[in-house]
Amino acid sequence: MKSKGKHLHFFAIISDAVSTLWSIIVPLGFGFAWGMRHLGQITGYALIILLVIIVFNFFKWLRFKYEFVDDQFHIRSGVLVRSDRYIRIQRIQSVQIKTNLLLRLLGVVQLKFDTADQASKGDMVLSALKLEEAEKIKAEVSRGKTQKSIIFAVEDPTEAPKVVDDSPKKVYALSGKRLLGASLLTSKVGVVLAAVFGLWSQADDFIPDSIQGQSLSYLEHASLVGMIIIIGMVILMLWLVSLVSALLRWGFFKLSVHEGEWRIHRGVWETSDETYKTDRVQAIRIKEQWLQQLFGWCTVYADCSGSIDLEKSNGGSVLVFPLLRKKELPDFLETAIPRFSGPIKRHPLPMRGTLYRMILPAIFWIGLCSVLTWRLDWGKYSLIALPFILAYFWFKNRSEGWALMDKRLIAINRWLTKTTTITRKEHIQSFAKRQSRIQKKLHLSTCSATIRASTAEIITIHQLDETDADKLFQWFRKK
Amino acid sequence: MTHLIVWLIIGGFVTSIFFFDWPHFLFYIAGALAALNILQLILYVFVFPSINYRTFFYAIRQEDLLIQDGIFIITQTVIPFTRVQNVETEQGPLLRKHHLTAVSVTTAAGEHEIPALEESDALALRDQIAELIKENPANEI
Repeated sequence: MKSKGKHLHFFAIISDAVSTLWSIIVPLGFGFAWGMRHLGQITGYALIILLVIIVFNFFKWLRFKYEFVDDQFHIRSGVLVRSDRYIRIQRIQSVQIKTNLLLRLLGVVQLKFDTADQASKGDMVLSALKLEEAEKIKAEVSRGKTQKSIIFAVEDPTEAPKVVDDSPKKVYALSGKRLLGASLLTSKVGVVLAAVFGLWSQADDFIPDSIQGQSLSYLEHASLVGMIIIIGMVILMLWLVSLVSALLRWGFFKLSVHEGEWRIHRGVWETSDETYKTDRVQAIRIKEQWLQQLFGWCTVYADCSGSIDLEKSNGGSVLVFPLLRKKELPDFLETAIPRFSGPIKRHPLPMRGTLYRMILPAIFWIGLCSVLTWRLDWGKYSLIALPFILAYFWFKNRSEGWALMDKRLIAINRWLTKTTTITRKEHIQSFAKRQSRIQKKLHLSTCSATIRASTAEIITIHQLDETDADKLFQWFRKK
Repeated sequence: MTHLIVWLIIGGFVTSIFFFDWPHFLFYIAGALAALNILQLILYVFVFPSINYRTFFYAIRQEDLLIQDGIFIITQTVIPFTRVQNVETEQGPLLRKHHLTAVSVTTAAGEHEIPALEESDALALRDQIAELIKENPANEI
């Protein structure tokens, strides 16, 4: 099929020019309004801005309409730039229903569709709906899908139309004990600590001087034991705070495995109901934080293609289950997502690679120590940390590895958390093998596989043996 | 761009020392920065491109595209045609002057570029890849 190259309509010139101008005018306009504010009555302008926003949003609401048209979902939106969007129900990858405290008071939920597009443009959000209405839409969407599959089945004469049952194959609920355990083992003390220190550095501004002076003088008078007790108390408090936040995040966590899809429910105050199609999963990540590893537990994540919103903290990965015994993992994967299940083995990485990777931190720390020793009295004592750092890197690198099981590629990486990534050949988009001159001398090589998650996700295996790297390379190349 | 910024910083240091009585040891810093900047310029203009020219190659095979690239770290990347979504040619003013064209292929997880080819070669390559994409249909879900 050959056709002549065609130009766009002539109006494209004007429309492009207008959109460029618009993108300049809007920030300038805001800047202007900001400047004006200081000239006249502040409240007046604030009110005008508020009014403009409300009126604008009213028109937006008025314009926003959705409906089902045959097997498509039609969304009409936009005030200045009007857009009509038709989404084929077949193409809807997941439906999510969310609420938070405010929405729940009004008895309203948020509904979100995901399609295979990238996260930045792919999601359709219906920001406020009655719960029944949302459930109805969800049912409609899943009905649209099943209808299609029934039609397919009828077309095939040998097979009777099969009724797709909606009952879950298996339900994994996070029991109370597990929930507590999960929260205990994964509470992120570090993050909370950083937040509190951040607050403390800001605290000068809004804590009255008298109180601040008191607390400081109290600290000065406290004995060493007192100090330790206070620090211990603070850490305990932080830990409790993070524990509670984890409890709220994961409360009532429930994963139901259906035919070809997962339904995940979670949250105490802010609940969310999410549906994911399992054929969207590009890789499974099994994370073991060091505390979890000590007690033989793990957390399971899934990297899905398409528009998972990135606001979820794990960089676009979907939390499949917060806490699982390592012993239960094979069974769990077998039921939840059979194509990723199977034995998880580990080829260790060559010793010379481990040693090679320890050179850099060693040089860095020695350099730092020499500077410290040169400038400060106590600087030379910082060298004491060197063996510990080396030991850490030693154990970190020794626990990494990789394995190739038929079509599955397993990579084990570790920083503090041990992450086992399982992906399959058909999910790898491109595969790279890299080698520096030094690596060449040592017969080492680094491999990385790029998969399509909500953003491009790169799975890297560092410092493999050269022959193994070649093996992986050939494995990916041949059909 | 970074060059320009670094030169501005160096200039700022020198003028500050002369006109605002800033401490003289800043001269050393400015000097070191200038030396590093020039070194980087030499490396990136005269040394690295020729190394890269020698290491870079691409190969089209039955089912995949292989690209080797790199200066110190040599990277070989395989992109199966089943994963290629589209192929694109691009030509800026400088490339146009020398009748060169860049070809890039896009997968669902990123873009890979062959930076400069003869115009006719580039178009032929683009057509060839487009043909191969058709021959290796994606097993997209």
